[in-house]
Amino acid sequence: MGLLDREYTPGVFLTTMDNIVNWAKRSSIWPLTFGIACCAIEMILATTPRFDLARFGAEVFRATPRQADLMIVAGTVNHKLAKRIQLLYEQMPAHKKVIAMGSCAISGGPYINTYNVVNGVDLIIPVDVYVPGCPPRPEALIDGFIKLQRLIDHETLARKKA
Amino acid sequence: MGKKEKIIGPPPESPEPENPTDWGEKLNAVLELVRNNFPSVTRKDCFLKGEPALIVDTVTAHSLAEFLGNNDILPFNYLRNVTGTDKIDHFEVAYNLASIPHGKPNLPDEYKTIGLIVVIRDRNKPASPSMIDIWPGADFQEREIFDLVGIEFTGHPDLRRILLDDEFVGHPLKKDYPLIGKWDDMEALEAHLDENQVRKMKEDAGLEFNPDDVPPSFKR
Repeated sequence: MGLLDREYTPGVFLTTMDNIVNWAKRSSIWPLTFGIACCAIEMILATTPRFDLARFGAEVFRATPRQADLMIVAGTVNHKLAKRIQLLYEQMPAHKKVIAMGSCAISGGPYINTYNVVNGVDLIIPVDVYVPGCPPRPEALIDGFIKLQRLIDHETLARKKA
Repeated sequence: MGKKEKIIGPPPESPEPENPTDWGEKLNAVLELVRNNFPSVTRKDCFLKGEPALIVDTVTAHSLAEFLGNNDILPFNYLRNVTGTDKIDHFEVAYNLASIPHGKPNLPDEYKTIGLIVVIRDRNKPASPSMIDIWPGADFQEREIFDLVGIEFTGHPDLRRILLDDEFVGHPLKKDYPLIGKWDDMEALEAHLDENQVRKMKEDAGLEFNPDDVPPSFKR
């Protein structure tokens, strides 16, 4: 803030409403503690000090969907689990985001078209960011997370023109 | 008889040291008794290290299993594994049994194993007697075989699906189940099976890849 200190008197900061709201949204994302398969190991690793997802404002994984606003689908989604995922997604409060992590969550991966695997989690819930890989490294997940923050930056509170 | 209570209770008070050859003789005695009492049972040494396996039909399977599990000479008191297999012209349920002597911690030298293979000839409605009253550990394994291979275990108290969804249609590890996709409609699945039955049986393994097997809802 050194630059601003020289230019302005204290107490005044000009920005748009969209900017300040989006800044608040993207700086405090609370992911859901929800790992399905081997991608979850990489997701856990992304929160450890070596990779440190906390640098981007998402260090607290909540164990209840009612306190979370990001679902990282990390693993193979089968038909038995699909109903549970839909239920968890509906329990999350509004302004919720979904990251599909890994080949299985994107398209079924190596298990595509088998008898018990959903061909991509986007068939049951809307997905914002896809992170490819089998499994993706933690850096890839962090990259997808930053892309999700860019998405949030482009949101607006203004009513759309008719 | 009455050996099953001893499994839970303390070991016998004076366990006499028995050498492995004694256990081999006991196994031979049991096999001799099986040969005399169950003439329809055939023997085939098909497991590792020449372990004997008894091949039995569904009618005498339960009485043979009761004899193996509860005899006084060498009771096979431990069920190691249950496997169900679709062999295209019949089904097989294989029980891997072991006899664990009481109070003997060093297992590998002193226990005997045997296989019990139940052959089910009826392909349309496969059914086999449940062994849950002899070995309670068969509970989940028989449910899994029912779930994936579709073999009904008569006498099982709680025969439900265990791995797949309750609404799942069909049994996916049967050889005539389509290799690709999930089938929500039982009638469509049966029509598909009838249509492809001849082709499936002509291919002896029935594992050739056919892209036409994809149900329309699964083409992306």
